[in-house]
Formats: sequence, structure tokens, C-alpha cells
Amino acid sequence: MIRPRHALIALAGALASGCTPSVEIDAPDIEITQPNLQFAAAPSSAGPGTSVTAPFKFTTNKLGATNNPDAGSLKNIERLQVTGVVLKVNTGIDDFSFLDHLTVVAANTAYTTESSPGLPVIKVIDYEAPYGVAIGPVLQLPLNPPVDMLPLWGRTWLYLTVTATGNLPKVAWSMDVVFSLSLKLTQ
Amino acid sequence: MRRCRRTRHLAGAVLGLTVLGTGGLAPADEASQLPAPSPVSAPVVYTPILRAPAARPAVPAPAPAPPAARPAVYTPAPAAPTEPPAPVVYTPITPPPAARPAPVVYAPVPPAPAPPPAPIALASPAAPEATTDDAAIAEIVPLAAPAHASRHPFGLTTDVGLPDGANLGLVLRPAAWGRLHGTVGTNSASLGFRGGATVIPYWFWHFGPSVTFEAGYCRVGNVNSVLRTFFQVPSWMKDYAQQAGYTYYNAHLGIEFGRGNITGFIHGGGSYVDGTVRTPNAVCIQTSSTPCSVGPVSPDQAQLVLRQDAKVRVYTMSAKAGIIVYFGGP
Repeated sequence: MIRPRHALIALAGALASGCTPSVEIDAPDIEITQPNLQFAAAPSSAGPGTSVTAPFKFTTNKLGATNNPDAGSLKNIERLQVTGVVLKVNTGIDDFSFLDHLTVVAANTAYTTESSPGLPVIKVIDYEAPYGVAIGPVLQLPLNPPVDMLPLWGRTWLYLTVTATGNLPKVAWSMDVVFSLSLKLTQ
Repeated sequence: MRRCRRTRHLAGAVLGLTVLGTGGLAPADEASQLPAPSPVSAPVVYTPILRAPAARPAVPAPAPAPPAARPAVYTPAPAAPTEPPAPVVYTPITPPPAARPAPVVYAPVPPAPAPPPAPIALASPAAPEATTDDAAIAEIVPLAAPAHASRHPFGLTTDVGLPDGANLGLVLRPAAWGRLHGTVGTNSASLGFRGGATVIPYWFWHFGPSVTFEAGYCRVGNVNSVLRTFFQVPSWMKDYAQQAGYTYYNAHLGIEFGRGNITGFIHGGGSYVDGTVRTPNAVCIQTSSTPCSVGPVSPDQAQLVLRQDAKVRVYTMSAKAGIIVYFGGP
């Protein structure tokens, strides 16, 4: 026979376990904008095929990664993908017609080439400008398939390096980089 | 000769009447002083006629005592002795012996069946006029009247719970075992609406288990600390969940309890919440070059916005407590 006290404890336990809500969040279009990303002026002697890089990093603190410092806890994040990148001219240039090649690389410990042991360096963008096509002040680079950023999540900072190659401007210039993310998590 | 005697008697009677008329009956000694009759001429002797007293009718025996309230066997009283024919001599009539109370033999009489108890009148305006005993009972009845005995079909309800918030609404109760309700309320962030049905299959005195199904909607509003607390929003999401609205569906088991036209309830169970989260204001993302500061995000700072509403689906325990006051009807 079940004693009332035991039944009450069992009920309280069931309620306590059940009180943790099952949450599913699906945010299909998150935009993270890095404004005014500065590029140095190319040397006056530079010709076509010259490259310039601009590193930046942003915290993942407000994206939940800081609270999940180890990869094991990231199981709650089902999807974290970059679905596209948009470049917008800001200062020093009128358009992106000088670009031949553009790459965006992400790492979790240092710029460009390093990540934690066992973690990859993810090439987010590898853009080749089409020959003979005019490029305006806005360059939209949809990613299909989307790039999975989940392996790099779980650290405080995400390091990104943008490398532009082409007939670069002879003056300093800047652009805005907009990342479109798709996030789905459960808790 | 016979005529002569009649005459004498007549004369004697006249004389007697005369005497009575002049002074009444003469005493005996006066009568004795009357002149003696002459033996020659057929003397008339005035002899006072003494009438024998008429025989008194026999005193009837007293009637047997009327039966008592309870049926009993009575032994008839002995009849009074009849008087002998009227003797000349006055014999004092012995009064009949007083009828002794008849011994009552209590035969075991089966008690009459008790009348059925009067129906207990409920303390309602429609209750029939109560007797004294019923009135005494009626004073107690309201304390014991179960809630479902109330026949009021309408009600006002108010309740507080999750994810419903605080609500106020109307109840329609077509039967004691079920009710419908529609409410308007707030989750502290926005206006909401809710409708539902409750079935109470059994009532045990003042209590009854219940099953409730509800659907509600809370408009998109600014999320505040109340919602963040009750929905257990993770701290890192706090900045993004700026506005939220949701549709919810409740499936609750509960207990109804009440008295008269007031019913309280406690419901608990599960809820499915289909919500929308909006971030109309950009959230600052700290970068190597632009640290975040308090206040609005400037165009020079890295920022995050939701270009499309985020969808939130929550399966959670939920609970609610409230009260209903019924009115109207017969």
C-alpha cells in the first residue's frame, strides 16, 4: 500500500521534473552586422591580384555560447548556420567592382588559421567575382548550402578574417559585413 | 255504593284542598282534635292520603369511560342494581356504587407507521414553505448545499495562472457536470483572450474532479520581468526577447470545490505554447573594436536584429486557480 507521504513525494518529484519546460526556438533570419570594417589602402604600385585582410571578432556571449562553454552542452543548439553574407560599401569606395576574390574565414582562437585542437577553421565565404558582371555597392552572397558554424560555438569569441583580392583601391576604405544566421535551439 | 265512596273521596279531597288553602296541612295533633265521627251516620274519616312515592327510575349505569387516545379494552362497569318496585315504605335508595374506573388493559397495539419525513427544503427562493421542523433544517442546509446543486446557469469568473495570466470572464453552465467560459485578461504584457470547457463528471459533496481544455491568445507585447521569470527565459536570451505574443492550449486536471453559487477551482496540467518573439531594437554585439555601451545601439556598433520573427514552441507544466460566482436562472 502506498503511503500518502510517499505518494506526495513522488508527485512532487514528477512535478519538479515536469516543470522544466521544453522550449524550442526557431529564428530563421538573424542578422549580425559588423559595421565599418576598415581596410588599408593598397600601395600605389599594387596591381591586380593584390590582397588585403581585415580581422574582427565578436562575442558569442549574447548568443548563448558563453553559458555553454563546452561542446557537450551545445547539444541544445540544433542548428547554427550562416545562410548568407552581404557586403555594403561604406567609405572610400563606391562599389565592389574592384573585387576578384573574397574570403571570410572563421576560427575560435585566433585569426584565420587557428582553432582549438579538434576544431576546424571554417571558410564561410569563398567568392569569385564573375567575369564581365558589374558589381554594385551591395554584394549579396547567399550560401547554399548554408555553412554550419556549430563546431565553433561554445567559446567566448568568434574570430573572423575577411580577405579581399583584386585591383584594390589606393585609399583606405571600409564596408559593412552582414551575416545572416539561422538558429534553432531546444532547452 | 261505589258512587258514594267516590263522593267521599272527593269530599275528602276538597277538604284537604281547603285546609291547604287556609293554612296548610294541619298538624297531626290538630287532626286528632277533629270531632269524632258519629258512628251513626257513616262517619267520614279523613285519613290523609299518603301517596306512595313513585318508583324512581333506575339510575342508569354510568357509561363506560370513553376510550382513551390509545385503543384499550374496557371492562364495562357493573350495572347499577335496579330498584325494586316502589314499596310503600320509603326505603332509602342505595345509591349505585360509583363506577370504578375501568381497568385499562393495555393491549400491545402496533405503533402506527411513522409518516415519511418531510422533504428537506433547500434554502432557495423556490423552496416550498417549510414547516417548523423543516425550517430548522433549512438553517443548516445552506452549509451543506453542494456547489453543483446551484442551478444558476451563468457565472462570473476570475483566475490567475500560467500561461494565461490574470483573466476575468463569463461562464455558461448548461449542466452541473460541465461549463463553458470565455475570458479577457492580461499576461502583464498584453491583452489576451481565452475560451474553454470544463467537465466535472462527479461531485463528492463539495468537491469534484474536473477536466479542462482551453485555448487562448495573448497579443504581442513588450516582454517584462514577469514573463521572463515565469517562462524561465535564459539570461542570454533576455535581450532578444523584447516582444512576445503567443497562442496556448491547456489540458488540465483539477479539483472543483464550492458551496452554493460559489465555486473555486485549482487546475494543473500541461500547456502547449506557440509563440512569436520579436526584436524590434538592435542588440549590441561586442566586437574587438566596438564595445557595447548602455543605451541604444549606435550605427558604429556591431549589432544583431531579427529580420524575421522567431518562433517559440513550449511544452510546459501549467496551473491556474480561480473562482466562479454563479447567478441568473430560475
